[in-house]
Amino acid sequence: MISDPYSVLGVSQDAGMDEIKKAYRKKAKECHPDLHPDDPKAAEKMNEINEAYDMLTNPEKYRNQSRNTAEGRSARPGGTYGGSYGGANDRSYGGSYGDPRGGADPFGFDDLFHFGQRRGGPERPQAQPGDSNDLRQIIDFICMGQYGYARQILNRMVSADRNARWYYLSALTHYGQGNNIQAVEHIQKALQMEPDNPVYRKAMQDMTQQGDYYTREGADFQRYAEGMNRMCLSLCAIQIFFTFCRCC
Amino acid sequence: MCRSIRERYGQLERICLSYDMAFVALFLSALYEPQEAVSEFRCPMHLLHCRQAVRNEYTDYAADMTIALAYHKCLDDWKDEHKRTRYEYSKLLKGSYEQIRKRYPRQCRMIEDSLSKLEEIENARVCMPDEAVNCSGKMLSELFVYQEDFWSNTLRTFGYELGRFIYLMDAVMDYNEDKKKNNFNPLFGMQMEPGEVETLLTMTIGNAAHQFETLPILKDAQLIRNILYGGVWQKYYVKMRKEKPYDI
Repeated sequence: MISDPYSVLGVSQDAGMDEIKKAYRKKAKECHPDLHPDDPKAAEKMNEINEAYDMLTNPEKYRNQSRNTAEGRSARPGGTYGGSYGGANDRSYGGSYGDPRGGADPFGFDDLFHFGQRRGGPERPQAQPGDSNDLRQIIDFICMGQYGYARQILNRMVSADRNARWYYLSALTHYGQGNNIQAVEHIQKALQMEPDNPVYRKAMQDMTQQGDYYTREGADFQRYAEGMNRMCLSLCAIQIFFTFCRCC
Repeated sequence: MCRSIRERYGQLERICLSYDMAFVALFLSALYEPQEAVSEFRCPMHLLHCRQAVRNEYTDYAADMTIALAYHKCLDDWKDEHKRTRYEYSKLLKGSYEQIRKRYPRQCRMIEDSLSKLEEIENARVCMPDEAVNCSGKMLSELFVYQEDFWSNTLRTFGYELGRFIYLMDAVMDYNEDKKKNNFNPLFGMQMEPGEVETLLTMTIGNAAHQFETLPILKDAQLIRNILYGGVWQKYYVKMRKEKPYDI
């Protein structure tokens, strides 16, 4: 892992996202292996630039990686990603820089739903006095990322035992499994049963955090979209989507 | 894309054009900034003005994916509604599809697997909303990955969340009609207020937008933002103004 992504990209520590992106594009154009076919270190340099960019745009991934490694779980590869950056005359570099993810399910969709690898998301649950053995087991499984086992125990519990706490843990399990709809449904049910519970409220907020950020950032675009009448909508849609057919 | 289809497959296939794949072309072109061939022509469907066409490997790729999806849509429609015309059309597209399948086996395999899984889920009629939504996401996720490279994971995640959003939005828009026609709709059986469904939609598109913001896209970035933050909601806002809030 590189120690100073800022200097690799040639930006200051307080550079904004736009500046980082521009710097990345500039560096990548300069160092692209296509332009240096005789340089054996070109691929390595490109990987370094890619990694530096990744570290600055996905910092939580690198924090989680060291946490995962410490806990003995398999970390997502952070180093050589392989492949081209793209740019003029882009070609597939799958094989040349490093390890192109091959195989039947190279992306490993199950990985996507791991708590640690999703941006944000609810905090790990904690056992509380009064929790039954079943609930404690479920909490352990959720913390280990073993959502399948957590789900089994949850399903086994009879309706009479399905209190707010059950719904809260079920919501976390669904979220971990990538079932956003059921996750939100269940956390809302937990809140209906215990509206003042701060833990449930926080979990709900954490789940919808990305949505709140989106709503704030996109407010102008949404107002514009909402304010348009139908006629304008069709014209706008045609204009936006048919960028490849421009009127003179 | 339109011209790519005409030149490489034929006039008939142009009818398959869809906005979704035009967006893929726009998005990948913005990320990779390839060399582009710009030409002027008169579109036979829009004769009033001379137009500019922009073409690169990503518009060609999106054109190929358009045909692939259209071919499967025909097969689907034939299965569901037994429209003879759909069956005949699918036979006409089959040759083109087979060429495309040789060129992009990974994407075509994902389309085939996802559609067959979706069919299973829809026929089972058990209300597991996340399964259907996630399946649709998985399909689109692979289409955003033109080649395996450094951006593949981000593109997959982006495509996944966008695919989920599109499917969920369609479910919201078609809710009343599906109820009347007794069609499958993943939202049936859910106890949610319209506002709560909006939370789900926002979470999903928020995740997609976040992935977009981590990519070093500068060219056409504002256009893409217009679409992701505003454009995708337009039909929804129109519907909400026209009809009373639906009962979910």
